This record gives sequence, structure tokens and C-alpha cells, in this order.
Amino acid sequence: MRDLLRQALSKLGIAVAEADLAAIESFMEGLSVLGQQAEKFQLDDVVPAAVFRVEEGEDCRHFTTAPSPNLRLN
Amino acid sequence: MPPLYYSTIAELAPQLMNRKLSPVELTEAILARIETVDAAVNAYITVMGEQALDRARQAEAEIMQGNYRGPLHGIPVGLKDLIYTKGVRTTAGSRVLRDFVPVFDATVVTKLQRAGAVVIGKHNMHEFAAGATNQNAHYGDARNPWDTTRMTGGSSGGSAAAVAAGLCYAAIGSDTGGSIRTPAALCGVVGLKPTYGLVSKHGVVPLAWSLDHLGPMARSVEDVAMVLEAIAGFDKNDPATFGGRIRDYRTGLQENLRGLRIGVPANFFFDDLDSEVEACVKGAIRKLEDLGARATEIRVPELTLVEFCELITVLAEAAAYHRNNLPEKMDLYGDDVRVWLECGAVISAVQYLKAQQARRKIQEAVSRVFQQVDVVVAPTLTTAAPEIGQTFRQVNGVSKDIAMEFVRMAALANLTGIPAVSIPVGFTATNLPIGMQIMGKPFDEPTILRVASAYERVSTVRHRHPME
Repeated sequence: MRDLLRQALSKLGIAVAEADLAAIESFMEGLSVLGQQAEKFQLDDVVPAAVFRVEEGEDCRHFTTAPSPNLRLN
Repeated sequence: MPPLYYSTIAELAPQLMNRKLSPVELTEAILARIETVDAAVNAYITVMGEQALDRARQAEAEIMQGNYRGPLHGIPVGLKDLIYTKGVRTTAGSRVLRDFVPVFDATVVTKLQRAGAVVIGKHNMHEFAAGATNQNAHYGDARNPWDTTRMTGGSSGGSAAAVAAGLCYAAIGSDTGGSIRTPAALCGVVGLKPTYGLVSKHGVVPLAWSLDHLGPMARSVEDVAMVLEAIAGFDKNDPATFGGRIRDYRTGLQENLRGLRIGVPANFFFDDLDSEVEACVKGAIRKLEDLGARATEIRVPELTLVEFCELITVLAEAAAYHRNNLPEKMDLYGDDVRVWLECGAVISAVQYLKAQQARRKIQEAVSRVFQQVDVVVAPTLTTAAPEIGQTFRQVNGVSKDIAMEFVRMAALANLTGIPAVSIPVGFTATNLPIGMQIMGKPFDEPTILRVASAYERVSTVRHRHPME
């Protein structure tokens, strides 16, 4: 895994230190565990939050936004 | 009467309006307090002494001419050092930006100045807001005024310390995963993360665009409400800002809580708490019930997705922002932030979108909760302020990463954009503040501030100060 991480960072121009690689590897393993737990919620059919709603009458500035929660509650 | 530097804005504003107090005297008093105390807490990266006195003289002249602008007129306030100030260095707590001098003011600064506030300086912070401890290798750690061997929390740690120690009357912080509420809780002040888009972020160094919020910190709920009124509103330069009507945040503060429905999470927020924190927050919830609110236990299994979703989102978005600087100026980043951004750089697009799917799940769950209750209350953090340098705490024999715990407790409000305020609700036996957060429906800041204010009125906590 470390070699893959080193290569991925190298492609981005980042000359990563060995000590950093160990920390990144440990973090990615932790993230993987969290990801497996998340899959219990059957995420495959869920529309990502980054998909936003365009409403009639909105001007074009809404097409340039960063992902928004678009949360609508009563 | 408290010393002048521990007065609230609500107490000072009538005196300023009626010309019984001069903005220049007030600003000089705060500058003197900074001179005396800031060496111990390290809340400021830049003190804008001369500019502040110029602004104060201008405010004084305007008030003398009968042009009183409102409750912030002549009030010294501070800014987290990622908020652009025209002609004044803005470092974001990093060596990468140590010589960065913006050529324009952030929208929030323009709004504060329009309200007559006196910007007195730029606050210490975790480098690039990318951490929750406010340990800073470049400008020194911010230290907690209640015990200077303890951390302030972050990333708006200098702002919370400055407010708590009487080094300004209010501050503007930013919150991507608790960075207003965490230090507010650890330093014993009020910190509000408003609804996503209520306050413009134009002219602010970003951490993660879809999670970042700006908000006020002060020593009372009413003061926070006053600052929010000054800074909220649409901004054509920030495409995320809310275009609707801005509500009145002060008028309803005195209303009672009869019939208000409070949700108390049965899972997640009450896991792994220090016993003093748990007892204190549960006591505060009982007080809210005594005031007429009805508490209901709520269960939200989707909360277990929060950590996964927040970490991937914040790391990936931060890595995108630092895409050019990180390879070119690697040596200028602190070790913790560099590793964190390297983690973000290797997160895949698939992982990012999985996190956004999880985020949708969380948002839907929160929508269901707010069909049953008006607000949700929970501890802001699992513990009071840890010692500076402490990275883990033991819970039932298990080692817990403190910074990760801070983010875990706060991130729900960032992922959903809902408003959340942290208020002080008590102290540990060792005199460290404990915070409780109140979360509400989008744009329903008036209700969470009403709950916070109701608690504040029956509590003596707000009247205790450090370093007296």
C-alpha cells in the first residue's frame, strides 16, 4: 500500500517523507474501516448530497455554486 | 460591576449611544488589557493598535454628531486570522501566508465596519483551520485563559481565548467541523455556527467550501445575536449565501420555553463522555425542562456515518485548495497539517462521492428528527480542556484521539448546514468550562438563541471570568 500511496503523491508532485507515509497509511486503513461501516446503510442507491436542485426563476449564479446541502425543512 | 473589559456589548452599547463612554477610552482599555494578558494566552497574531484607535476616533466623532449606527458602534472586535483585512497581514496561522496582505476586506469585515465596530486585531488559529487543538508551530499555541497549560481547542482558539480573557468583546470565527463551538466550549464563551449560507465567506481563506461557516463568538447570547444581525445576509460575491429575508435575532430572546420540544440523542453524543461533562449537561437539560420545555429521547442510527462523511469531505476539499501550494511550499507547512493534506490528496473521487451519499442519508435523518422536535441539545464535547500536547484520552480502557472526538461531536451541523450554538453550562472541579450545544432547523437561529438565552438567564456561569 505504501508504494501505491508514494506513487499517487508523486504524480501530484509531492515528495512524501517515509514518516508521513506511515501516518497516511494508518489513516487510510482507519478510513477503510469507517467506509465498511458506512456500507451497512446501503448507500449505493442514494443520490449524493452534491447534487443540487435548480428552481424556477433562479438566476444563473446558482449554477456556479460549490456543493450545497440543499436541505429543505419545514 | 465587572471590570470594563468583562462588560458585554449589551451593557456597553447604551453608554456609548448616550455618550457616557467614549469608543476611544474603550479601545484603549482593551489594548491595555491585551498588553497585560496576551503574553500568557497568545490569542493575537496581529494587534491593529493604531488602526483601531483611528476607527474608535471616527466612531466617537460620529456619535458626537448624532450619527449612532447601532449596538456595535465603537465596540472592539477581533477576527480569526483567515479573514481578509485590507492592508493588514492575513496569515491563516501559516508560514505559507506569512507575508500575505489582502487588497480588499472580506464581506464580513465590511459589514462590521458598516455597523461601526472597531476591528482591534487578528486572532491566532490552527494552521489553515486544519485542526482542532490550536497548537501552532509558527505563531505559538493559543492557551486557555482558565488554565494556560490547557488547550483552547480550535481552530478558532485565539478568538475564543480573546473573548474569554477580555481581549475583545466579540470575535468572528470559522467552523468546518466545530471550529467555533469547540473552542467556545473549552474557553467558556458563547459560539454560534449559523446556517450554511447565512453569513458570507467572501474574502476568507477556505478549508472546505461545502462545510465552512463564519459565525460570532461573544460572552453572552444577546451579544452573539447582535453580531449575527450585523454580519448576516446575501452577498453577490458568495454564491452560497442565502437570498431571503434576514430574521430579527434579538427580539425573541426573552420569550419563554413553554411547549418547546427538545430532542436529546440517546446514541452518539452521549457516548464516551467524561462523567463531569455528562452530569453537567444533563443538569442543564433538566433546567430547560423546569423552564417549560419538553425533552424527548431521539435515536438517529445514521449519526454513525458522521465521522466517515466529515473526514473524507473536509480532507478532499482542503487538498483541492492546497493543490498548488503543498508540493511547492511543503516545508512551510506544519507537520500535522502537511500529513493531513497528503491524506486528502490520495482520497479518490469515488470515496468523495460515497461520502456525499452518506451525507444525503444524514441530511434525511436530520430532516425526520426536526419533524418531531424544535431543537436538539447535546454536549458540545466529550471533555473539558485537555492539556496542551495531549493527543489521546482513555475511555473505559480504550484510547481515544482527542482531536477526532472534537470533530465527531460537532460535524453533524456542518454536514447538514443546520445552525448550532455552544453555551457554557458549568465547570469541572478543576475550574474548566463545560459546553452544551443547541442545534436547530435551517435558518431557525431565533429558536436556538431563545433556548440558549433562557438557560443563560437562570445560570450564574456567564458571570465567572478567568484571569480577574
